[in-house]
Amino acid sequence: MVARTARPVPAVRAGDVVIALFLLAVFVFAYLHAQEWPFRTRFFPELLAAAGIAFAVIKLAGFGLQAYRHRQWARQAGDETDEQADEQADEHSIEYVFGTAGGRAWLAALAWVTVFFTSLLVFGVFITVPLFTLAYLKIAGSAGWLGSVIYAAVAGGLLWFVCGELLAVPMPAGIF
Amino acid sequence: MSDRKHQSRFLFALLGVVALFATGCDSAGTSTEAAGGGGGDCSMFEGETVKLVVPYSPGGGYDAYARMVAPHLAKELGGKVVIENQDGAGGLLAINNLMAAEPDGTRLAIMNGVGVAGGALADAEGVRFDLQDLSMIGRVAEQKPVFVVGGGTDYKSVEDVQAGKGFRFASTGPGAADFVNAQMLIQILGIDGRVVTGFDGSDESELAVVRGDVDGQTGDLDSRIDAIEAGDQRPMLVIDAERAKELPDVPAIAELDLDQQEQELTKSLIDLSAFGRPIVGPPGLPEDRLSCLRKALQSAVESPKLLAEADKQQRPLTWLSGDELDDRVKRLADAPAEFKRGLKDAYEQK
Amino acid sequence: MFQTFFQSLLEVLQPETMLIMLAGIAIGFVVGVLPGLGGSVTLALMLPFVFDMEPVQAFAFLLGMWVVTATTGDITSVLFGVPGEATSAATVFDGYPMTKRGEAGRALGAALLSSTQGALLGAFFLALSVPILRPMVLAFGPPEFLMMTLLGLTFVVALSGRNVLKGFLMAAFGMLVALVGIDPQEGVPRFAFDQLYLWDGIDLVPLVIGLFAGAEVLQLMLSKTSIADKTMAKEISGIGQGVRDTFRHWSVVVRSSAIGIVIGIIPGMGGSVSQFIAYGHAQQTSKHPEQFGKGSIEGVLAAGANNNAKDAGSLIPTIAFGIPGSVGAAVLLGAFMITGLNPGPEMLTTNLNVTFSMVWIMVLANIVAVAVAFLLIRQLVKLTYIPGTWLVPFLLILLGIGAFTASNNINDIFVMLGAAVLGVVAIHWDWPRVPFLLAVVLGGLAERYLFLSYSLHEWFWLTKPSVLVLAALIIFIAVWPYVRSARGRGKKPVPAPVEQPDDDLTKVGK
Repeated sequence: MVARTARPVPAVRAGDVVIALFLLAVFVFAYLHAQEWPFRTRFFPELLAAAGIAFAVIKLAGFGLQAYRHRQWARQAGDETDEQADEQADEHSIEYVFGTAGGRAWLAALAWVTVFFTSLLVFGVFITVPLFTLAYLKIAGSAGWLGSVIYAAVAGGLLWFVCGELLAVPMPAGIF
Repeated sequence: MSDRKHQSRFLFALLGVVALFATGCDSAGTSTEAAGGGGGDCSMFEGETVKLVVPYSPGGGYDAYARMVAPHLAKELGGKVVIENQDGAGGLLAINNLMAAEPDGTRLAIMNGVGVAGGALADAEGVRFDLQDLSMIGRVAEQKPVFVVGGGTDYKSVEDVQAGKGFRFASTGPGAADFVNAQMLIQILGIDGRVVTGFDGSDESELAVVRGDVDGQTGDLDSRIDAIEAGDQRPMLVIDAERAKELPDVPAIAELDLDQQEQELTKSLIDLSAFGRPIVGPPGLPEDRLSCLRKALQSAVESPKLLAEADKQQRPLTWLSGDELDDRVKRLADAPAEFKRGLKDAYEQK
Repeated sequence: MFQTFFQSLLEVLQPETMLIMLAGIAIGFVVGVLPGLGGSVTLALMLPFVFDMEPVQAFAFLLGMWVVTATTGDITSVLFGVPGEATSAATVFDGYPMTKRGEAGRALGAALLSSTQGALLGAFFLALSVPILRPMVLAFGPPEFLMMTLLGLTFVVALSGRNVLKGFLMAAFGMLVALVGIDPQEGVPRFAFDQLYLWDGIDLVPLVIGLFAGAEVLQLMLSKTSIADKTMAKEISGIGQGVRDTFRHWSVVVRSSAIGIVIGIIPGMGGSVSQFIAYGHAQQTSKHPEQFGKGSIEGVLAAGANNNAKDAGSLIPTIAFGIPGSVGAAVLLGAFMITGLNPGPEMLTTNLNVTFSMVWIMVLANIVAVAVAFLLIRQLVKLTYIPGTWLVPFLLILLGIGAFTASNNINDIFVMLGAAVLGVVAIHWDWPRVPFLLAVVLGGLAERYLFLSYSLHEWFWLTKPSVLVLAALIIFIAVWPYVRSARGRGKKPVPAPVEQPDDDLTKVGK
């Protein structure tokens, strides 16, 4: 049938399979974990996990079928048009950015995020906010000193004055 | 071009800054500066900041009480009292955290007395402390439990309920005060009935009672009084040693004709209910700090200004001293085994 | 009654009352825009201020503030993809993609005006239903709530777009997440792994922030461009078009408002549930469901109209029984007590003027707030052209603090980060995120109401007429799009999903 219509069948993406397998594992774990609970506690999660397992298995089987058809189609159509199936994404879309950002850009972005939240947990918000703002603007944003310092000082200062002193609201305080 | 860019950057910075200041300043933020010092022996708190933890999110009864009392307590202590909401585990998370706090009195918590004390007695999961270890500062408000039925039901008195069959109580779930009280009533009064769980708070329970989906519920007098006055719910019993002044015609459970064992259970139940909404501190508070806090809280709760405010908010204050709470803790430790077993059942059905 | 209705308007229009209301609106405006600072929390903080006020004044202040937070919460959702309020989460789904397309003005115009329309419809309904307020609230019980929950869950199909199975998987996962915490039947902690933090379940706010805003901030960090592309922006920022959109798609506005009112009445369903149901419904019934999540104006309208109408709905049980329909309404109940009002029958007789004044306050406060917001839109839209690197520190702070304030617990931040990872993965491999959220919101409700229905009626609840009617409705709503598209295919080709030009607006409204 595939051969007759010769419609392009996209290749299965490894990421999809991994996600489906991960979800399958989650549902299996949930099902097993639920066994130790009393009936009324486990009834709903068990039902749910069973449904989830069924969906995941069907999905994985679907991926298997898709992979098979893709190979059939690719053999017929030749290799040159292989990866054209993806729709044209405009360069502002999040899918495009995630798909095309280089490894270094990813590493840098994740490093900044890690630094921010680690610092938030360790040093608390009042130290993190000005320092991170300054560092990020200077290094990642290559902004001028004046702008960065003002931004950082104002953000940190206001946060400290209003939240810390004036209203005394709970903030991530760090471990010190 | 670059000018406009500059302008928009400036605009943004300004807005960001305005935004920032309040974003962080979320939830809890009432802080109250003291005006003038308090009692003579309370100098150690002068200028200090005391955190009063509310184990629920803002907007509920505990939160309202804490916010109402905080400024007056601050005045008595000569320092600041700051509210911090820390919800989790039905109020247990904050109390568990309190146990590890520095015992200097700068971190206190208002707590769900019946829930936490009951849980501790039942040795329920999630309670990681002994009731005796908590430093009882004092109870700011009681939570007089009442037993009500739907206004449309045929039950006119407790005797009707006892004579009836298949009575259904509404409750949020095991471990909640409305569950413990209902379970205990079934046991003490020999009601042929059961507790239907899964309602999302006393509001949904109330609606179910008014609709006639269930027959009745137990709840605080404060939160039931509107429905009682509107005729949506009919009071059957006050779970206390004496009648409530708001409901002079409704019998107290202690008046009922009970045998000795039932009386003992009733006594323990009343002792448990007496915890109401206490303010507690971490274990091992030094004697001088504890007595200072107790004194300060008492004069705050008994100050005419706060009483007037409480009256207006319809959140009445009924002081019970830390000493008396300690007494209750001791008495409950010696409560009849059957009471503890009943509690255990109420916290973990099987 | 009519006389009371208009007298209460005069009461609200008293200079002093108006002044108090304007103060409330100003506070509500700022609070709504800022993530982390929630409407109900602010209400709790402001409660002491109404001590010496007359009832109408107290409500002018508090209610005025509260309804405005729901309106202005959409602004942050549209501009930055971070929901300004928990109830503005669904506005992110389509509002933010529109912003990235350079249509922030249009999205804001549509979101704000539809909010007002929702508020007007809600207020109108509240006023109209005064004579039947009490029987109406009592008409529904757990079995009916269960059916409504199921109705909401059927939208998973529509929300999944092209890949239904992926949507089902995400929904099942979301429901598991919803079950984390103490179960209401036996009191057993489920999937809590000895963490007390998990006992009360996973909060929606850090989840939404991470799932949507987290991924978007990461995108800004990667691309280092501004949120919106200047070259793509239409010179006329399209506010007027957004306004006209609300009339062109009037039926979406009306239906989403109706959903908001009904769900708002149900005390156990809470404020943040109905937006997802309204959004799912809008996508289900749309002629262009494939545009949802990519910047569909209908999606923006559904979320905008819904989150204001639901406030009116949640006031209904509050007024009629003193049973709040949402957290915000619960705090408002405190204002009833402070001002010496007894919720219940009295509100419909001796204090009817106060009840009607609440209707007027909702209407007036929204009109004022939206008028002010419209004046600011042009300036606000400029924010989306600022270079991404300047925004990142600010947004990261919003993310961290916005999540932290869910329960003032460090773990909220971890939940947010976990959700952000899920969001990035879901975007990259094209797994739908909205079914997941819908399931998180409805999963616990479905279980609770199933057990309650059974506990109360055993299986007889299945034979209740109201349940059967709702079941028929579910089937109709689930099947209708297929019937329609099948019929449409039979007659003529489905029109291509091209935005209609502006000028056919002249036809609308006649």
